[in-house]
Amino acid sequence: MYEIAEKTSRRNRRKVASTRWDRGNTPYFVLLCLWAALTIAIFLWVIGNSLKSNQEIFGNSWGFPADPFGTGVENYLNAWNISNMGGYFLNSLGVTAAAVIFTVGFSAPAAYALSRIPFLGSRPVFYYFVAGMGLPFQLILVPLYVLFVDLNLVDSVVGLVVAFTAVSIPFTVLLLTGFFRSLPTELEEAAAIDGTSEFGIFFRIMMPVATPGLFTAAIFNFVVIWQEYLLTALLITSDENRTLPVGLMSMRQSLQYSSDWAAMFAGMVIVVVPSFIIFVALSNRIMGGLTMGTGK
Amino acid sequence: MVFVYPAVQALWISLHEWNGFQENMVYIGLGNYERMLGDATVWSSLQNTLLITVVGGAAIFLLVFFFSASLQRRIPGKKFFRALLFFPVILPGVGVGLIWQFIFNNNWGPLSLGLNAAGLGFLDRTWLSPENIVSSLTVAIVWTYVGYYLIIVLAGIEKIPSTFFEAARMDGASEWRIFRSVTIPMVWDVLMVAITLWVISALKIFDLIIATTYPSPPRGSFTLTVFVWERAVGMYTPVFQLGYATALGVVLLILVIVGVAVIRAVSRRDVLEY
Repeated sequence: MYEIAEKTSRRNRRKVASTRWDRGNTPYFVLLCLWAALTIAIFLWVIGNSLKSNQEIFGNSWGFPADPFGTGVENYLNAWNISNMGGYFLNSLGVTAAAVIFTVGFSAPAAYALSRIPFLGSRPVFYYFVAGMGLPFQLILVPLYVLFVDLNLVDSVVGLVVAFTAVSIPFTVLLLTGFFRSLPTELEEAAAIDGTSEFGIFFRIMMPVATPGLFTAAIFNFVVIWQEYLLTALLITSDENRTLPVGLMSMRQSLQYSSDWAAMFAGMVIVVVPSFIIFVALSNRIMGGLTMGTGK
Repeated sequence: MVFVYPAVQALWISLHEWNGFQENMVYIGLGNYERMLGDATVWSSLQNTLLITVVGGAAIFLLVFFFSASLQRRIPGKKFFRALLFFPVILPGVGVGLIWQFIFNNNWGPLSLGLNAAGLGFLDRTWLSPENIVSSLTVAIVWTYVGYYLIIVLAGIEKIPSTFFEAARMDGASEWRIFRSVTIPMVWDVLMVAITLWVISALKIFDLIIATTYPSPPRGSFTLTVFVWERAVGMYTPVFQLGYATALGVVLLILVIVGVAVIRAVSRRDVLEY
């Protein structure tokens, strides 16, 4: 009897606590809502315009699209086929996927070695990877281009994968080193006592345990490489090799001839949607990946 | 290898005059750096870059403080706000830049239309005119990147044991006082990491600027990154002053190093263990 009374009173107290609206919260809440409304309005405006005809965009930028389905389908087909967003999309997907696989594949052993195996100079090597992050691309623009000309990798999708993998490895190693450090060493010790080789420990023991961390690193790299512009604009010259961001800019360039603004908005939505899907599905992992490297 | 070799090579190239087609680069010593001193675009682009870094940074971290204080309170929909604030970070900078270019469009962009419709037409500007473009860009940059730094700082705040807040509240500290005397000192390290990351990435912002200011920012509104690109590849007509462009890249690297060093020197404090 007493217990029940205590339970209900506790529940009531909790209920009171959660529904009580602290008046001091109101200005904070209102400003948060305003910011959120601004962001949502921006995206709704872009999506709305992608469903309008060109006349509507200029005459009726605020209103609802008159025939969202008819003009919408036309706009998206124009963007996808005439402006070749479809081709860019496939390029982006292939290049990003390949680069992510290679990046994580190369970074994982390096990070594991840095975090576990003490060897002379592991500290400088670590700082070397950190320094790689601070280096502006603009500095190595010219040497990188020359290097890629020498390697015959300019304007090739393969070259792009090589470049992305190379520039993504430093941060990924840093991220994964922190992650491997957080894993307990007992598993490896037990395996070593049982006579497993170093490679056996890495592939058979550590890899399965590290899967969540590797997945986070992969997602994080996917997001970063998906939006990369500078390197692609430098290394890719022909239209059929462009990725989505560079393709979108070339679409903007041809706008002065085609003046198909509605298709331009559709193109922008095409660029945004994959990021949005990934974000909705995996936002916690993405945000987790960001803080994994920066925390203690 | 991909970093150090080209970086060292970059230092070497910056001492030469080279258009990329000549067999041999012409050694001119510090000639490229001397040329910078007399180049007005260098100074204006330096100024713009620093403006975006400092003013944009101040705006971003003020917002980060505000939002993180808000999200510490008992407010519905915290996760939603956090995710929405963060979302622009993962979008391709070119996409965000083009969106902002259209927002700033004077003929049919929502900003100008909205101001006029609300009877505030006198506030309407040519948002992307040479005198306004850097401020407009800063607004776009702040909107885009604030979520990234918010997430980092929030993660730091979450690591603070809640007993500290409870103790302060027991002692009757106001929310503001708690924020100033408990939260800030406790997340100091994380905050400095966030500011360092901001400085490094702010100096390097490129795609967002290029897209927002399409077809090309006016010369006076170049940032260093845009100027490097323009000298190396050319905006829409080739320039190919590769030595000069690389020397400008070296300046950018120096800015990054100086920026990080300054933050480290200013932020040095006794480490709080908890």
